[in-house]
Amino acid sequence: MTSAPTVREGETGGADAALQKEVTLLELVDRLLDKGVVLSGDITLSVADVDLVYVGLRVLLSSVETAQRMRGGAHPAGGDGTNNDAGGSIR
Amino acid sequence: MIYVYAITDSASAAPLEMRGLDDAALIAHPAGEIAAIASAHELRQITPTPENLWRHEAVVESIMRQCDAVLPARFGTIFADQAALTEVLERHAEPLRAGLQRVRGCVELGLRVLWQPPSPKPSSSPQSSDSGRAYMQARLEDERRRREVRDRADRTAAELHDRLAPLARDSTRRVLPTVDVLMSSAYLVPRNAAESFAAAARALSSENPELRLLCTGPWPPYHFAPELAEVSHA
Repeated sequence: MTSAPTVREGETGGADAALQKEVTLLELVDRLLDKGVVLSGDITLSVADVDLVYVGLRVLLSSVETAQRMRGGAHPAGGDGTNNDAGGSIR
Repeated sequence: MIYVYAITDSASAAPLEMRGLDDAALIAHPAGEIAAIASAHELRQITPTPENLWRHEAVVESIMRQCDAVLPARFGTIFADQAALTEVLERHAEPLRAGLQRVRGCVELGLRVLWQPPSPKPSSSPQSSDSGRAYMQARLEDERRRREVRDRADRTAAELHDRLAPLARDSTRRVLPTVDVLMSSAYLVPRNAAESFAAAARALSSENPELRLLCTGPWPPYHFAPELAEVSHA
């Protein structure tokens, strides 16, 4: 399941999929709001708006990382290649 | 106003069937060798809802599928009219062309590494009865521990990064962006090497069961877009 480079979020099923989806949203926000070419000084989002998005996401991020910690002991990362930890294809 | 999603080569900027924000039609605005993919809107405000962010991303990905090289625009990039957009494309033609050349044939892969930060043993909080000397020693001890955590993070991040960076044409990384995230990095990888990069990330994940490696992608090359000088208010 991790081999195709175009697997999108939600296709993996179960709790991992939900977690992956949240991490992916986080990665998306990091890219769209903070990276990419800035062509115009006339960006619709002020710095304050962007900060607000991040405040909203901080709640999400902490829930993702808490979930990671809770799973940590019982289900070590990677290893069997079935839990989609490092697929390069996970969206 | 005109909302811009990405820059690509004008030669490959064919019409896109996909719709943009608010289901608006996508239009290519060429200026010499480069072109902006954009849509026209009445409003001057685009809100960063997850739906809008994903739509922006979907448009850029569809351009990426169709074109060899794409430079994604920052979310929220707008211009008053076509003349303002053309003026900017012409003024920055050279860095944009070079930027397209840099990412040509490549995708971006992201890696977020979660770790268990070494638990900081809190120093006994200084009591009012403590001497100034005891207080200073506690402070120094805290500082020493913080440095140890930082050093360990730097070392581990470098080991992981050194295994992946050779597979990439370029890379960026941040160590300890937050206490729980050991490293957040991005790699510019030739499209046909994305799968071997993913395999290398999986191997690293197996070798480091105490870490959690979350690899995402392929993304458009957001981290490898050029920074333009003197971007002024339109």
